[in-house]
Amino acid sequence: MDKPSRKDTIPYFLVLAIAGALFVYAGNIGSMGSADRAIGPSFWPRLILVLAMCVCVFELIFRWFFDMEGAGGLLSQVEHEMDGEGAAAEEPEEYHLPQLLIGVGLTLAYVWALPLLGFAVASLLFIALFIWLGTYRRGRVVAAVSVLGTLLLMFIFMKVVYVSLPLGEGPFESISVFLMNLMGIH
Amino acid sequence: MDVIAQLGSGFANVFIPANLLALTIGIVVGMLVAVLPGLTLVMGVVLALPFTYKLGITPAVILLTAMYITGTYGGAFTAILFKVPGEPLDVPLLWDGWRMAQTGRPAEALGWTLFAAFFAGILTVVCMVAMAVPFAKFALKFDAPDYFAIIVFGLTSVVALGGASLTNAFISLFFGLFIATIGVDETFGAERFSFGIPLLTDGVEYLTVMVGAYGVGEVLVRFEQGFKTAPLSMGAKVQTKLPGLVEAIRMRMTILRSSLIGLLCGIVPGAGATIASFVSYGIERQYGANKAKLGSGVPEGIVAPQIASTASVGGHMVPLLVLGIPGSGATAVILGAFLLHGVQPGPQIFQTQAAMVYTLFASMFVAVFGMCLLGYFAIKPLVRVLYFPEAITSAYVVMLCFIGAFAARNNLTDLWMVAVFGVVGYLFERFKFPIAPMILGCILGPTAERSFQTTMISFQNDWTIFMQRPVSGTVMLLAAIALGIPVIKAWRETYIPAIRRGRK
Repeated sequence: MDKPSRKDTIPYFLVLAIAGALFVYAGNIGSMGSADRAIGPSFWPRLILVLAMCVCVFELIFRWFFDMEGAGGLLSQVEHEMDGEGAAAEEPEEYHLPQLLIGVGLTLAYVWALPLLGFAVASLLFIALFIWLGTYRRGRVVAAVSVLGTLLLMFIFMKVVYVSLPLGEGPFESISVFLMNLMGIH
Repeated sequence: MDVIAQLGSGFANVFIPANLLALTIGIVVGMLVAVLPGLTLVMGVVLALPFTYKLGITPAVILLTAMYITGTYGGAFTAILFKVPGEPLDVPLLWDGWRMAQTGRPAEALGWTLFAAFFAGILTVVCMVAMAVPFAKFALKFDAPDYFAIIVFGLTSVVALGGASLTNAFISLFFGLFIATIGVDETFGAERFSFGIPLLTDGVEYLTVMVGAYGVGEVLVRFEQGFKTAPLSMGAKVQTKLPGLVEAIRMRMTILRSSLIGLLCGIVPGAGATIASFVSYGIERQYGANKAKLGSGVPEGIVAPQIASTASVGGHMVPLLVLGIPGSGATAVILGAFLLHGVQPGPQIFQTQAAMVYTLFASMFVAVFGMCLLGYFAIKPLVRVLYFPEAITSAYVVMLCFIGAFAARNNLTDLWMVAVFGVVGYLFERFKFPIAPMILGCILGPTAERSFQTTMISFQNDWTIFMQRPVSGTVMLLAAIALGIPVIKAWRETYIPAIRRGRK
């Protein structure tokens, strides 16, 4: 088993701290042991948080004092045994923070823009940008896929499945209504 | 006889046009989802859910179940031919299936896969039909402590069996259980962990967690890597050569072992097709007659994981239908479809919805035939979807995730939840925390808490009641064993030597 670096302990410290804070917060929810010894609404979440903290402490002790990671489950043991025996050789994973932030930003922007721009405009822009920024750069294909795809999704979900997708506000609502009329959606 | 008669009318119902169409779409889409590496089986079933909102309950459940069973088979093609596992459950097929294809026998490898999927498919549906009614009659006697014990068993199994780190699996599970506590508490009506945010007051829908973590999270991981997929190199023609009867009979012990593993992994809530596939391969490697050659391209290495993964489907459907407890991501989505149509699965379902349940059973028989026919005759055009640009398919995956989450309650705030859990899903992938325990914790958490609270109220806070009753006591013991084995093994093999090294 590879020796873990101390940096790898950060998630466990974070989970421990958050679970601890939530445990304290949960004390305000209800009495844990009232006069009739009834279990209150905070008992169950507090039990979960205590267990989570115990697991983190256990992992941290072994990582800090014994320089080792916790053991894996049965599935990981089979995978480990098969390493290098015909298994697909995994390439080292690459992480690109700017690209990730673009992806997250685009997703959040879509959710934010949906009620304002309406499904049609927001989705068209999202699909086009997502494909383009996802490193597929054939302009005509991107345009065709985003326009036709958006219209197809609108048709299926508004006309066939009867989902009332957001229409947007102001001029964007007019665009949505125009497209709906064009496709016979009422 | 009653079961056979009901099943007969179920078969008649399957061939009603609406049901047959749903079944056909389910088989084809399930196969496509399984073939595409960026799209997991659970994600596919999640994405198909919004399309079923306006269908009747029977075609809706038929479609999703057909996708589920077909999804355990379709990924084998890409694993064997391209060394690209369509699903995590297909990874063990790389070890012998792809190796067999490399030695110039791809048709033989595909033939063994087809045989295994067909055999396991029929077996799992037969077992499901045979088990469901007696199990439902037995389950009518279950009380809150028994339900709680069953859920504990499922949750401990998913932690014990899978994952690169038991600690991470536990943290993932506790996170899921915690998410399920957000909102207004069912028993006491108290508001918990909403922090005054209206978005959190109604609680967190498990569907939004699933859609976000499985769908958006996985897409973000691939987006970050610029949708770089390995170039596809297919060594041979897409052809299937079925094994002979004698060869199949020679493998009877492998078939028996992996069938049992698959069915058991299915029945245990939490242990899914992926775990069944890996465990079956691991057992074959330890006890199989041909264990020394496993990994070099032998049929046992193909048959064992394929039979186990397909056989797990029927096993999973039994607790879903009979107890209303979904044991996997896919069955959780199918439960969502039941609930959206106002049907609560449980022991009474055979009285209240017998026609629908038997139509579902019959449809699964037909689905097994359908997927095998599709696999034999039409897989060549289906694997062409691998050449489709991943950036485009991923954009639509995200779109369908959002539409699906929105359509469930027509609530725009659910989309924020999807986005948040998309980021959580990415972080889980990035820091090697398994997602499945979180999802199962989130799904089973409310039932677990309800059963726990009911037990505590009914039995005056006597927690030993779980050990005193025959069903809950036995299941709790099984849970302790399931969790104890890997923990003790890890303790003896890893921790004690580390402590000794530390002392020196």
